[in-house]
Amino acid sequence: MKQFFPVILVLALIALLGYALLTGGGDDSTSALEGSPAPTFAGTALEGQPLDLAQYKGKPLMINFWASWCDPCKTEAPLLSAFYQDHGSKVQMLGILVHDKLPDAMAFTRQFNIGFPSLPDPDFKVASDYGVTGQPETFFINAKGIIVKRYMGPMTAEILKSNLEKIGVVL
Amino acid sequence: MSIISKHVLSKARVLIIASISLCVYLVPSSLAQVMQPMPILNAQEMDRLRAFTARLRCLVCQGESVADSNSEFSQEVRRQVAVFFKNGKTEAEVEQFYAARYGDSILLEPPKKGLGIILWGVPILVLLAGMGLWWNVMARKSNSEISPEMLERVEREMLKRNKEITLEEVK
Repeated sequence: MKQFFPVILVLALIALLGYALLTGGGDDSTSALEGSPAPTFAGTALEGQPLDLAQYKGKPLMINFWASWCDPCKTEAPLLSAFYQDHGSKVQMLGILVHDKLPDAMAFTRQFNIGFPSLPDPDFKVASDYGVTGQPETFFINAKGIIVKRYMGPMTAEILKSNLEKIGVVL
Repeated sequence: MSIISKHVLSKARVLIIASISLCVYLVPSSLAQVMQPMPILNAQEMDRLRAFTARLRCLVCQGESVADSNSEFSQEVRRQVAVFFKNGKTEAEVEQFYAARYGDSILLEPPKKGLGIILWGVPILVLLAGMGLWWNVMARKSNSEISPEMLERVEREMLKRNKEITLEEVK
């Protein structure tokens, strides 16, 4: 047994290294900001009204980063539009418009009948404050203003529902 | 016109129409992305930007740094870093900015804390354990060699035995 000790030690260290490498990356959708307060932002919405994150505190909130040129956003838009019309009273919704032309974005909201407000983010400031890497990305924020979950990519109705449950929204 | 030349002409027509359609489809979607312009940098600033962004991982690429990638994400990070440097932020501050928002996975060199310690420490420990193993094996090998005292004793025994054989032969 004693002569195998160094071999066992080397194998254990290699296993530890493998564990660290495999767990270091984690779930792709996991955000470094989960459990932290949502970064604040304010500005003028696409529709012209002033928009401040502070005014959304006290109720669960969903922030969706999108762009009119992003094809997966087009896939997701009908779901978000219908969801806002049916359940907009249970959860607040906000859009952040990334790297887009305002006329294209306005045409997009008209085409998909999107009722929730969107804030243009031309210099990627809000997006980088939220650690966004692409569009669409959706953040689920609880009533206390804490980021509970980030989802990367277009959502399905099931994914949307399960993430909303994490911020206390039961449909 | 022969049937063959008619066939070639129709094939060319299809190719032209397909190419135009592809251009019409691709050009507006790529032009629709609106990014802020990169600040003007001198050669020294360019070198600093290149060296720094080579240490950041492109989070939407496979094994590429922000410096090497041409993704929308990397282009935006390069522009932001250039603006940070122009505004006098230090490299440590910018690194901290991205690690806080995107997590340590954006750093190509794992930080020397938490799981990063395992990634840094385990290879060193494996090397030390390997050296220990080698030392142990070599020590055992040298222990198994015949000592001068033992050699002398063997020679004496053999000489004695030879003498006994010679006496027996004389008899």
